[in-house]
Amino acid sequence: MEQNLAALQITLVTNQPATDEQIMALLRAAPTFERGFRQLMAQYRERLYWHIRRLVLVHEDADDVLQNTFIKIYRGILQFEGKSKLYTWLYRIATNEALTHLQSKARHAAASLDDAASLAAGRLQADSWFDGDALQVRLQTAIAQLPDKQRQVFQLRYYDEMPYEEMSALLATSVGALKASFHHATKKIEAAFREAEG
Amino acid sequence: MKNLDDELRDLSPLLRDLKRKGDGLRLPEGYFDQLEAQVFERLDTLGDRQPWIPTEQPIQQPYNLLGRFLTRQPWVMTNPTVHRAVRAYIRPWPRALPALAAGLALVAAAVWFFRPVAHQAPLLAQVTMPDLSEDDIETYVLENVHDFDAEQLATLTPVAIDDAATEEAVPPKTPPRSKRQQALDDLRPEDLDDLLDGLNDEDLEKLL
Repeated sequence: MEQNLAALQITLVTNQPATDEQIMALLRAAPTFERGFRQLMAQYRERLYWHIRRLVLVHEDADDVLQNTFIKIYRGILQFEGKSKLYTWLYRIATNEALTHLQSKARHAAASLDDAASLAAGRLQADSWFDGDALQVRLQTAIAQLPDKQRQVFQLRYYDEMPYEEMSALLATSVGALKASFHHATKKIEAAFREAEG
Repeated sequence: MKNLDDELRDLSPLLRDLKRKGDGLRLPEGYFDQLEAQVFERLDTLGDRQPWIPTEQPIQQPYNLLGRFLTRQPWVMTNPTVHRAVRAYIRPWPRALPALAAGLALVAAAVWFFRPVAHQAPLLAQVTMPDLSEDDIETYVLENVHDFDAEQLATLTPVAIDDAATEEAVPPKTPPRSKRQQALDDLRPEDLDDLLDGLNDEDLEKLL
């Protein structure tokens, strides 16, 4: 652990990203726990933010969900056993938080999850942190109407450009199934565009 | 493996064009710089700062002295694995206590209900009171011989045990007689007269 901490000092001085092992080494010692958590946040906050933002669309919602995600991570990080990549663990927490948030919005609007996603797409136009054109709104609306799993696959591939192999580990799904899922998602989105054009 | 651009060229030229334009999602300037402070502020508000390190304020007050002692030891505080194990040890107690109390009450009730019946019989020591004669006690014991267990009977005098053994089923209603007394009682009056007639004064004196 001391070697890890020493390596982390070098990493911090040279502004290199810390490895998951170095972050976990900091988190597992009481005196460096908070430093480790700050390091974790710095390392993964942007990636998690954009993942959440593309699920909930509106910045304010994404901010709430991201903060909740980090609070859950703070509470549970010592239960992470290192059996998967750290990001895989963080990604699942963030995804669950985002989906719970959408479900909660749907309950308040007495609507289904698909309706809630469409509502979120509608709110996107009113979001001051969105400056896309009508085509982008239509794209986000079409994405929001995809089933949860398909939407995650589409977003990871389309926006994050994540290789299928990495996505396979993240979502515990075969590469073939992921390719098929992405293929279906693109076809559904194209169909939604054609329908809107009419 | 194809990159995304190649994949979209074959799959969906529309999405490929849209991707190049960007998604239009922006975020406030310096958002990520403030995020850390906001998260820690919320953790402070929730009282969740450093969940497993019992520094100034333990997250969960141990319920027993051993737990309190252990959680204050530096080697426990600085080792999350040990600390988790200690907390796991001290946590179940409050939940287990009602179950433990109920279990003990059940065991006590079962012991009382199924206690041996012989224990209900009066003890020999209780029977042996100073105002009772030895004959009274012996009579009482023989009349109630079935109420005593072997250990209690073992404390009786050999004579009493012998008598109890010989008169198992039918306990005597009168005090036991000596052999000499029994022989005298069994004599018919005619035999007694004959016997007395056969005795001289010296023998008669010895007999009396």
